[in-house]
Amino acid sequence: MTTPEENKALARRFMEEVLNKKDLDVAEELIADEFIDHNPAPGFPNDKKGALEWFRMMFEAFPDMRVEVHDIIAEGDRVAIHGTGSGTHKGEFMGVPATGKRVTMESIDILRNDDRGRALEHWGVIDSVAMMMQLGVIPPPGS
Amino acid sequence: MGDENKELVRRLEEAWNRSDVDRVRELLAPDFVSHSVASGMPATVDAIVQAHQMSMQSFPDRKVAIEDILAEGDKVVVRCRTTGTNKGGLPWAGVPANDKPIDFSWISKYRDQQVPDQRGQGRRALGAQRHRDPDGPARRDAGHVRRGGSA
Repeated sequence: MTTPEENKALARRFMEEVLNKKDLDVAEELIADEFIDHNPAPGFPNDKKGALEWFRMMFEAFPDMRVEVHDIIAEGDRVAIHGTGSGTHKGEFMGVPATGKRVTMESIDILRNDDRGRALEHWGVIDSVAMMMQLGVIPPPGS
Repeated sequence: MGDENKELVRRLEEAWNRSDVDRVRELLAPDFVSHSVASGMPATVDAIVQAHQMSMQSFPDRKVAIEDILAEGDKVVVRCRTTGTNKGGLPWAGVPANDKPIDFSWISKYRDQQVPDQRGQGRRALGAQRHRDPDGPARRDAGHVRRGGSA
């Protein structure tokens, strides 16, 4: 059983090595084979394979993507991560061709780890409307 | 402190479910700030109370259930599920009453703070909130969003 402190360190490693350094081998290592995503992105399977596909697509769409972690809190087998991700839209994203626009998204995600510290479940939703507004695909409210 | 803060958040969601605005105001610090992610979401206690009242007109059966809650130090993260039915319409979004169900999950982070009470003694209240929900209010309230925000 990993401790909350160990789970926090694993979450930091995931953010730094997977999301910032774009190392999918680390994602492969830190995500359990039985992983279930309760909030998969539209069109992506809710399993480990789907999560890896999502990261691959994100890294192609936003090659300079970086996530700044504001807070990581842990209790029991769960870790919550509050961060802000930003990047330049240089490749196709969810059917939208590259716009060259800069996108910033704040996020709160919850992971539940297995007894070896690998991610078993994920909750967290994507503010897709805000993202599409920043990309200029849909107008802001009231415009 | 963690358990005490979790209890504050549980009581807050219960108060919202009863539309007990006085209780909500007791549980939030007077200078409470909602650092909301969704655009157009208000920041002050008065504004979120007003937003709640508008939401109750649109969804009179609106209920929030806490699905997970974790705390550490002065912070609490809560994962909730909101359900309801569009029985009142959303005039501001041009959506008529249509009896469509809404069902979506969201995650909020709260930070507590000590505020003086009327007797001059300290009490703990929720001082700030960061909230993340699947889609903008118009889209969500129109009933297009399924659980998980995969609309």
